[in-house]
Amino acid sequence: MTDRDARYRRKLLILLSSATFFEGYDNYVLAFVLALVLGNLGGSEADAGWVRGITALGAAAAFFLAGQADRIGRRRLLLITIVGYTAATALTALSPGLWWLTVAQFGAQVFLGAEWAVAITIVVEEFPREHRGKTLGIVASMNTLGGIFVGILAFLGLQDTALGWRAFFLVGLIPLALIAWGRRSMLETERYIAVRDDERGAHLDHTSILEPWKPAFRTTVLAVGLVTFFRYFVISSGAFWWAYYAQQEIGMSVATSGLYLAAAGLAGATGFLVAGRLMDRFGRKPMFEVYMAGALVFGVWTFQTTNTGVELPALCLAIFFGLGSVSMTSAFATEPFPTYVRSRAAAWCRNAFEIVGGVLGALVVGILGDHVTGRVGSIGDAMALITIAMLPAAMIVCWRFVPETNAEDMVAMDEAVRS
Amino acid sequence: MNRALVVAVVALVALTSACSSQERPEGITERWLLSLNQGAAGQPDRYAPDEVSEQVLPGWHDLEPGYLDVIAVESQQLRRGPVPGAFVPFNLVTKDGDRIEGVAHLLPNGDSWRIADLDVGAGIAPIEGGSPFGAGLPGWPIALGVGVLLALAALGLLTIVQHRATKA
Repeated sequence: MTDRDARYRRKLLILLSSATFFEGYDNYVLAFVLALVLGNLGGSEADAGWVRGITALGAAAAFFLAGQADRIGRRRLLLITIVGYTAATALTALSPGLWWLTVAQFGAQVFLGAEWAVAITIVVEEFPREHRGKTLGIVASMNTLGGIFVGILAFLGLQDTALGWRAFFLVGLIPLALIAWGRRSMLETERYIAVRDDERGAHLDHTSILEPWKPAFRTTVLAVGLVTFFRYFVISSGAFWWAYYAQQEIGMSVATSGLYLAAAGLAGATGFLVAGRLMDRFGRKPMFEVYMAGALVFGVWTFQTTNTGVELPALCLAIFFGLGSVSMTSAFATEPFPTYVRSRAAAWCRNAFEIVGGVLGALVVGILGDHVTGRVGSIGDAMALITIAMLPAAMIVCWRFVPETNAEDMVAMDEAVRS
Repeated sequence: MNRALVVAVVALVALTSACSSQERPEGITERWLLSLNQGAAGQPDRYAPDEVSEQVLPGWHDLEPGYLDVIAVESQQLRRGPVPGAFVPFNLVTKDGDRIEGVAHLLPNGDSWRIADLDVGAGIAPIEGGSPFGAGLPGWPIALGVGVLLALAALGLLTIVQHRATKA
């Protein structure tokens, strides 16, 4: 039995899944308790907009931290990010004012963003080729479960306790501390050790953040970056605006829209798992095209129907295909790159393209769909229009320029780079 | 790099300014109802006089925020007759399950609108016509066109980058 047997990989999967689980939890929790935060700490809707914008920039700033995984190692960075995120969460719960909360949440997003990038890098490097897709699917699905967990806590009345909104941040501290403890027993990835200890790789640049833009990787980084930008422009704005659309344009109550979101989230989470298995069998690119086509059809349907009976299956399928496609983009952002530059390439694709697309998408839909001044005047129509404009572009760029990596041999790739 | 940043900022400013247009009476009506649902803290007097707000939710000053469970506003309607302005139908459901239907009458107020009076309850005068609320038919081919342009721009950029990388 080796020290990296099936049991170790199961433990590793749990320790890595917590990265995406808490990313999902953190992304939903602030939106969920925002009204309570404003009531408690003071502030207007405009202030809330600034809080959201600044904290979202934290995920983009995570780029600089995530890139350090190629220099200091995956394990060490994963330990730093969990400790940093736990501290930022505790500071959020203790916030005496809105600015404190904004700075603490900005920090939380920096550590979460870096943790995500290094977690998928570890999956790609530590799991056998035939299980990589499935494992990426499981890790990615935890993001949705994190969001659903916020809804469950709210349903159980956590906000009604004496701690109010602060309880949502405090409740995560104990599991976070346990995960941080558990990650101490993690091993550095075999691929990282092999590349670091090989003298033939001494000429490779392990520190420059611009290394992924060398001619050998430039086209792939840009292609994957554009695909993730177009995709997340739509997916992020859909996730952000759906509740508003349901309540203000379909006429759903807050409780019903919450119930729909939880039910669709659970059904949609299977999209990650199915995507992981299918992309191992049929390849990353064909499955990405299928998932994007599904997201296009059911995304437009979700934001065009005003029939509450039709809305639930449409939303389930939109989440299944839309969010499920992150399994493929996670593979695109890591598998085509050799070990010595993989984390930095993933950081460019995720933090410099995808996050920026997500922030811009929500902004453009809000401006276009504003009921008073927007050119379109309807959030549902604005969402449908950007879906039609962006997702086909993602599909075309992927088909033409993103390499298929289903059968990619990491060891052979590293050997080729070193020689 | 600096030139690319300037181009990106100019494109963003142009995009965001092209996204906004004149104010809609439906949006003003919706904001009024949303602010009314926040009680006194919502300051609905920004959109309508107190006596008009009282017609929808009597004693709204003292109501708990969130008293209205559903707020639905429909497209503005043109009503034939001597009274100018816009008419916006709305449907509300309270937390107790009571339904409130009505039509808000808005008058132009500078570049915006202000709610002047209401028809609440049954027996609302028939309404007809009206402007579309949403993208309308031209929006769809425009979105498709933007999608084609984006894809072509991305493919063009990647082809140039690939060509230069191969030469390097």
